[in-house]
Amino acid sequence: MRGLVLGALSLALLSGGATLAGAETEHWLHVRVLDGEEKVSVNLPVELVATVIETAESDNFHRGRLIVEDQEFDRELVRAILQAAVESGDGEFVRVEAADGAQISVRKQKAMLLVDIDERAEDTQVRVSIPIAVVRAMLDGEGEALNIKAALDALGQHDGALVTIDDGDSTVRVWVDASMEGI
Amino acid sequence: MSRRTSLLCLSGGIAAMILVAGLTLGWLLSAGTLSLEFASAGEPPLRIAVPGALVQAGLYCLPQVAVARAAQASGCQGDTDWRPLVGALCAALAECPAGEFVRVESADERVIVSKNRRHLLVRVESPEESLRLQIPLRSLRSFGRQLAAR
Repeated sequence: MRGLVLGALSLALLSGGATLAGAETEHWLHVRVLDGEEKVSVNLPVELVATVIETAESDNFHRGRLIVEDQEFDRELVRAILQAAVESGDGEFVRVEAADGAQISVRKQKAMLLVDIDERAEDTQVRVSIPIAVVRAMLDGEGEALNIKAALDALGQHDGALVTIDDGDSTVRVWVDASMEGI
Repeated sequence: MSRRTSLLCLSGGIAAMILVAGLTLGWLLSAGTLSLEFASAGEPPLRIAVPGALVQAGLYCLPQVAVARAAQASGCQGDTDWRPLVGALCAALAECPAGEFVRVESADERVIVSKNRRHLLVRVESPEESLRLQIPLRSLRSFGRQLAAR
């Protein structure tokens, strides 16, 4: 009897685990633009964006990859810098303070790469937070191309703000989460 | 021909007609109904409902030149082949979860693109005019496939 109960319990736990593992949560890419009386709200499943991006074809875009023609773009160097950043601890890597009061800061916090730009003269603030996994995915593959499709796939595993721009008159917010409405 | 044979022939004919009518109706309704409502201030509203199957048939019969001309008119021209993109977008929209995808609001205008369980909905509203387009998802998928294949 005891064996039977234990067996039933194990089976229930296993089936529950399998259900949880199989349940994939859809992630949505949200964009909000507020500019005076104008409001733009975009909510798109990340998977939809990735599927469409994969199909888009142009001179500089092929199978979800953006071909960078800039000769100065060295992907191996960027990858090496990123790897070094991943292995290092949290902290600020770059800080630029301009004469007009503008400040640029690049730092790492846990698994996120954060870029803050404050332009006091123009009352503009830009906050960018990109998961390092997304940047890595973007640099995945061969040749001088950025893998946008892979980056979007990686973004589908992420929750949180990506870009916030506030210039006093208008605000732009881009973020990813599991809710369709984008709370 | 005896009276009984005549009656049998007549019944058979009616049954065949009902079957053909049913099959045609089934085919027409299988892809849902595409509907368009347009209202302009001071004018009676215009409502058009077309079975999606008819639109599919119309697209199939559309000459390649007309498709290219439509692409040019919509700005999708040049070396970029837009058809696979439209095909993928239609398929992905039909498959993705329902919700409100785009909402643009200004002081007096509103544009909303959303999806419910069966339709893709486009609404454009302004004080003078309003437009409501409803595309069945089954048709949307086939439109995409047809455009991508041409």
